Amino acid sequence: MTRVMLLAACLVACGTAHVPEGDAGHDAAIDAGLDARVVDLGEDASVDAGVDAGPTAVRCGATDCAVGEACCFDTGACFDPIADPTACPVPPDGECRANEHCAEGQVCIALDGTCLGEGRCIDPGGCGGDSEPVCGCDGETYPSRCAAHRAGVRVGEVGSGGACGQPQLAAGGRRRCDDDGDCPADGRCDMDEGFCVWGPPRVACGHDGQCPEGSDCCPYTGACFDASCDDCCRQPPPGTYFPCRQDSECHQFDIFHFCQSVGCGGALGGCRGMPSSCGGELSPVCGCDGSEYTNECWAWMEGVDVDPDGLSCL
Amino acid sequence: MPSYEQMFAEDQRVNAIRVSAVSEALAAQGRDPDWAREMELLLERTSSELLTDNGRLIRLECRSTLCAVRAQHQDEESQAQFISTLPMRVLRDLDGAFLARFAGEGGSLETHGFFARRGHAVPLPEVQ
Repeated sequence: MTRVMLLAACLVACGTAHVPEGDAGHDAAIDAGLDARVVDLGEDASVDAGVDAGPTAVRCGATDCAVGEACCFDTGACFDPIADPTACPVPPDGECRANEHCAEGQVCIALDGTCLGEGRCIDPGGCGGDSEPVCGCDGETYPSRCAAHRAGVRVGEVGSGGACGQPQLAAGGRRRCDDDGDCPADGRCDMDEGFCVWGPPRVACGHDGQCPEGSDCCPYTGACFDASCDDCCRQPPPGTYFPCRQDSECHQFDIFHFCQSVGCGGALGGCRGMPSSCGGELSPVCGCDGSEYTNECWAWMEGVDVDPDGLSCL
Repeated sequence: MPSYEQMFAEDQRVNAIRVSAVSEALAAQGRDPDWAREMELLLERTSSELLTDNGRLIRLECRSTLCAVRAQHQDEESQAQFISTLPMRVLRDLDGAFLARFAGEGGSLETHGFFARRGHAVPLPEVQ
């Protein structure tokens, strides 16, 4: 893990551009089994590094588009925005499905942190100040989230934690620990790092070659997943950012996140944060833990799903 | 997408604005002594049952249509118990609630809550 942190620090501090073949840094990265390509879109390059940076090929889901084609984030399919714009129509709600639906210089970003799906047009702005490397959904490592966005590339939730092909540090909200007793029952204490961890670390990716053996790259999340798992790679439900079945899968991101699903008993769901405040009137709902809550928000505030049938509370 | 730290800070900022606005609304009210005393007794009794040894009530005040509750907690579990149970217990006598978690100074956990009289609502501002 320390090596990961050092490399991540170097990617920022060394101002690495495309690492040339044979470069010592590249060799070290190969030794570490890492994809060392880093796209540098620093401050000086920002003027000509916008979304429309020229006729370069884009990656769309699991596909490399032909030059001139664009990615339809809704379907994960390449399309020709000039010859056949109807292949990826602009959604009626003012959102976007492709960068081409946005004004010049803007990018279509999924606010829930997924690589595919509808999004909103945002202006990436300038890329100054401190930054951490991220793994773009195209499988390229960028020196910052802003740099990826300026290149018209989304960054998945897992990709926010570091370079492509590397085990990711938890995104934040981590709980410090001295031993396992300091961590929730579904986690353990990483004594070296001094933080609670849940399961093996996630790996961000843009293609299967960046994933450990036995795993593939999920085009929806930009994260490696167990290739033998049938439902681990899917678009998470609206309002959530990562597919899950149980809370511990979300605790990897944040201990105050939970797996929200419709129904109880391990239904397919998605990770989301617990609300930190709730309002409203008494409109009791039954939680999957068998307790009644003031309303839906109060159940979610405690990381509890709502039982639509109310059977858990009988 | 903003980082966790940014989202947390934004979340706390929005909560702080809401709490401040409702506190001001409460402070601007006169006191209806009968209703206020009755609701303060209800909230104090219920809060005490929920807080036991793992927290303490540091503010409780009712005026004419609003009540404010502020509690400190020793751990997340007891805070969760307080937040999920208090409105369930008292909203049969009150009409509408707003509760927010806060990280207090020195890592302490705090809950700020407001309850509205029957026929009234907690005046939460829209926060951008």
